[in-house]
Amino acid sequence: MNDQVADFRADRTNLTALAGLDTAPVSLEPYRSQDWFDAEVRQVFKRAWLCLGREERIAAPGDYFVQTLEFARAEVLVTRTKDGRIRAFHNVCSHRSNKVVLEREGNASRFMCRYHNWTYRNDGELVGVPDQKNFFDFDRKSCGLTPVACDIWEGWIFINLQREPEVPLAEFLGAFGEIYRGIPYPNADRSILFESRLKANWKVIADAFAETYHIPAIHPETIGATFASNENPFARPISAQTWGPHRSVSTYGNPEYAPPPGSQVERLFYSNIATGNVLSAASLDDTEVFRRHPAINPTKSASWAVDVTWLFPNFQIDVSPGGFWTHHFWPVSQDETRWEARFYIPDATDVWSRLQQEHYIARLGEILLEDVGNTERTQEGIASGAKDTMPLQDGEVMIRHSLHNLHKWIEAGTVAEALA
Amino acid sequence: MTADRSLPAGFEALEPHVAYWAAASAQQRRAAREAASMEEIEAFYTAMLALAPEAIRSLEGRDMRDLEGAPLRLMQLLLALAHVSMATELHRQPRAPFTPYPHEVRLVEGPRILG
Ligand code: FES
Ligand SMILES: [Fe+2]
Repeated sequence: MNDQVADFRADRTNLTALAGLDTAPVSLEPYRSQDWFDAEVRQVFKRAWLCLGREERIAAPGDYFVQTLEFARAEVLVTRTKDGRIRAFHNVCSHRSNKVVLEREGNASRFMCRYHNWTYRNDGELVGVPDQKNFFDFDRKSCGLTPVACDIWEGWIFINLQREPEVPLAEFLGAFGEIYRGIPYPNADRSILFESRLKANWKVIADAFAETYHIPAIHPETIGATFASNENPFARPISAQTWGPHRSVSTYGNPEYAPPPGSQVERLFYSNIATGNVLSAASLDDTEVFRRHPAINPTKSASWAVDVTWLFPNFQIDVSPGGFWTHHFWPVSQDETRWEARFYIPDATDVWSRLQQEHYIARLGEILLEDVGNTERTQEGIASGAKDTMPLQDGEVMIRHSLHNLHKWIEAGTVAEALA
Repeated sequence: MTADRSLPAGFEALEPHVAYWAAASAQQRRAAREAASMEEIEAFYTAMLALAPEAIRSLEGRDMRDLEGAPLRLMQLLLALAHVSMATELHRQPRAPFTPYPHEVRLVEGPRILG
């Protein structure tokens, strides 16, 4: 592990050097080259463990969801079986390859393919074939759904598209997987989802959520005053850490933030509670566990806002004193991405908490639009070929670390080599 | 309460805003605000903010899952106030500066209650 602390008050920070990365401008080819994209799909997305979200989403036996993986032209069906296990399968019928499940989520112990009514149990076994006698040497047992490798870490569901994953999930997560044990995920069974398809390379979107340098410029009214202050005018991170291909930064929050006098609605909606925390979805108990956990806000800074943790290659978990949220960046093509931002929030059953929640959601909508509203323009700029490289500053260290590791995986013949 | 009055007694002044702003889902409320002009936003903001403390008081103690009819519509107006305040209190224009419109960034799964 590389553990780095920055003094954001110093003349300059040194997170990049401490992470063992060079400081030269980085190539833009990974953001616009079809060859590079094809290599990413083959060497990264089809070899790495990919997170599909929380297991609480399918809490009860029979619960399932279907995840589209455009880059692999695949759909993965994730189920919870009677014995409580989580299983994953290709959503493809063993007869003539029709899609079996057409719904996006639900609860069912069996799935019937609509083409010829072949029926599968949610553990993948084929249990019904109309007019089976008229097939030839038919072995029903060997005609189940094709499994996809699936494992759980701390309640997070991961899949791997290698038929026999080269490395187990625990090895892929490495030291990160040890250090991030025991973190509470409040309201993990209920969430809201923002989604968009964007005409930009997946890394352009991921990068937009990986640095705070942009906050004073892009988010001046929505969160500018929350994440920067006179003490830290450029919203420099507090610290950064890397573990193999994974990485995290701890970001600065203005401890003095209070809704300005003009924000009458925000002040009214929050007037019945003592704290003016604008991102509050967690109970005080959970907040205490966050604050005490050695991996969260690792420097125990009093000016802590959010830890942005980016699991290689395309998944980010954000933890703040008020709760957690996630981003998925799913490559569709070289210059198209499906982005999912999921925020885990409690049920608000009284008027005050429901209004606070709506204000939170309304503000989120604005912040997210500010973030991704920029990305298609950025992609156009990259695609123009005007620039060969981009300079990255110290606060953009996660972007540099991401590109560094993508390079490594693309060049590595084996996953073990990529992780070495 | 009579059938032709859509809000609880005392909130008649808000009747002209019900048709447009009392929307069922958070995404619809967000979309309504994004599609409105600053004049429309300000008219609703001013009228709603004036009655908001009283409206909240009238809904205190109510379980948000059980609202229907007139109180539900009043709550939907309060919820819409959160969205219009983005325009009046943060951006001082209908939408965030330099963001695209129309756009495809959607709240595709809202909260379970009044979402
Ligand atoms: S393709 Fe599914 S039953 Fe024939
Ligand atoms: Fe941002």
